[in-house]
Amino acid sequence: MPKQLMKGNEAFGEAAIKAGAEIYFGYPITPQSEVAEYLSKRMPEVGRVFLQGESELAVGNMIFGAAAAGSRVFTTSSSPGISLMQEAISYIANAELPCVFLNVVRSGPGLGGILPAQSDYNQAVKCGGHGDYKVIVFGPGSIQEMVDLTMESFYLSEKYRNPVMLIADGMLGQMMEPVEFSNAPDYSDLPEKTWATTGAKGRKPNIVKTLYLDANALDTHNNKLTAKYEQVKKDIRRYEIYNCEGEIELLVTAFGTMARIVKTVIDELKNENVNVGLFRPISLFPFPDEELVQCAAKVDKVLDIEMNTGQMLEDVKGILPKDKKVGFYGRSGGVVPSMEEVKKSILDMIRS
Amino acid sequence: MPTIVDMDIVNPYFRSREAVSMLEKMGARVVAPRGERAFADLPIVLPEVKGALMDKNKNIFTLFDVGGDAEGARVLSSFNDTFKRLSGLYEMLFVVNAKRPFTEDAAGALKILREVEDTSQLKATGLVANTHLIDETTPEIIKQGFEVASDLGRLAGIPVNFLVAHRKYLDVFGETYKGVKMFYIDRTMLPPWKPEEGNIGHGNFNLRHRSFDT
Repeated sequence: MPKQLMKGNEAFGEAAIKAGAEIYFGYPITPQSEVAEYLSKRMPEVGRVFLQGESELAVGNMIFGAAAAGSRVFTTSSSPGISLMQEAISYIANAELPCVFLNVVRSGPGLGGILPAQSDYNQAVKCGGHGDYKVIVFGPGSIQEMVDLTMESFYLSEKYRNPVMLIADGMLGQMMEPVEFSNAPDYSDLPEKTWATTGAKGRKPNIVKTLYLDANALDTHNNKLTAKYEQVKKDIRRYEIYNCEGEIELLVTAFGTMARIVKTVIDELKNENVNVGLFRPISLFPFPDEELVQCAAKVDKVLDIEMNTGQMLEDVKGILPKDKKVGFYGRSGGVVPSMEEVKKSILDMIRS
Repeated sequence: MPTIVDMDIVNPYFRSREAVSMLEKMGARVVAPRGERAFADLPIVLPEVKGALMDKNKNIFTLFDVGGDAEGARVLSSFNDTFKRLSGLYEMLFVVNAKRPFTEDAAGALKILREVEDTSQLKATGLVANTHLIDETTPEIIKQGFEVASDLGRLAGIPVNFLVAHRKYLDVFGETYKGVKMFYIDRTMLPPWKPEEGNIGHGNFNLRHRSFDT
């Protein structure tokens, strides 16, 4: 299929179709409504289900139900809508059901604004629902990367029987870039969904539940989940290292589109004989912690830059040895740091 | 003074209003929500829109920038009576990018064109061939897109008014291509990580930019 010029929101929808997604439930909210608009046309075209729920609360639980029935199901929303889905995500994680979420992040807290932000990092990575659970989280930096990760997310969600969430700032949802689609993931190596509630004719009924009244049984279940997350941590390590080959004066950490601004500034500084490197985590859970430590080994200072007031910063500080000086620059509320601001923050950190 | 009316009520970002400073510096009047409401995801139609439509000065050029699909064009239907009175005095141009979903070929583009006409209750009078893949555009892509637009023109019975290309292709296409006037553009609304292009800075598009009158 030749390259097309697509909005991030449209491209996500198409990637889900190409990945074989069978059902989309959604509810409109800026800046992700185009996903639903696009899928309302495309899903019927390919003989699959598009259904708008009555709210994000409903959608979250519709995802739970459809995933329990073994369907390949997904949804999208933006920050306040994803907040409403947190309870359902906790249930889905407990019940070990595969499904994919996209959060096209807008600025918060509360209703906030409709401009782009990265302020749902904590909600996604630390998990906003109750209980001991984890969601696999990716933070794509381009529309092509979002497409590729979306297709893989469906596979990973089924492999680990766990929800996968992509967080993209509003810009990534609204902007257009050329994209192409690879072949659908090959699910053939995955076991059959023998746990799904597909109808009990000829077999014992399957029960999908999250209620464990026996404390020891729930403790055992939680330990099983924890062991799964430990395996996920071993298996999924996604990151990009930029301009770290030679001597560098500073390492910057940034994810998503923020890292693209940083890259342009790094190129500009290189022309001025200032060498700065970038570490961009792509998997936000699991965070590529050992890789960050290794990458930062050659510098004394690390500067974390985000479109929030310092969320990934807590992880970067927690991961790096205590002798590293870690600084932060960020803007929130929908303000996208300009190249000039980023350059100044880098130079200030180098001189500090 | 030419007037640009930002009637895009469907896209929350990347609208004409974000280039208001540059447009005003170039001598255009911009009709768009101001202040905080410029960033609202609400279908705001200002009273000045009707004023711009009813201006009896035929020497004034007014451009309505409408969100790029049938849903975006729906807002035009509320001015249907006024447009009827302006019959013959306005042009409705349908911009075709054959690299966009649903308009890859003339049949798909015709479906979208008809949807836009249905919701706007207006007939398109011409086409703008604007096929591109941003930085990955080649002259070949522009030429292929022109053929799609030409086929659409034959199906819809309307002409291709312009073929759009980046100014760097001036030497490739010249003044006209297959009898159609070339329309060369510079890119002025760029994402925040793109270094400036030509003489116009990237600062012209900046999501944090709020140089609107309040």
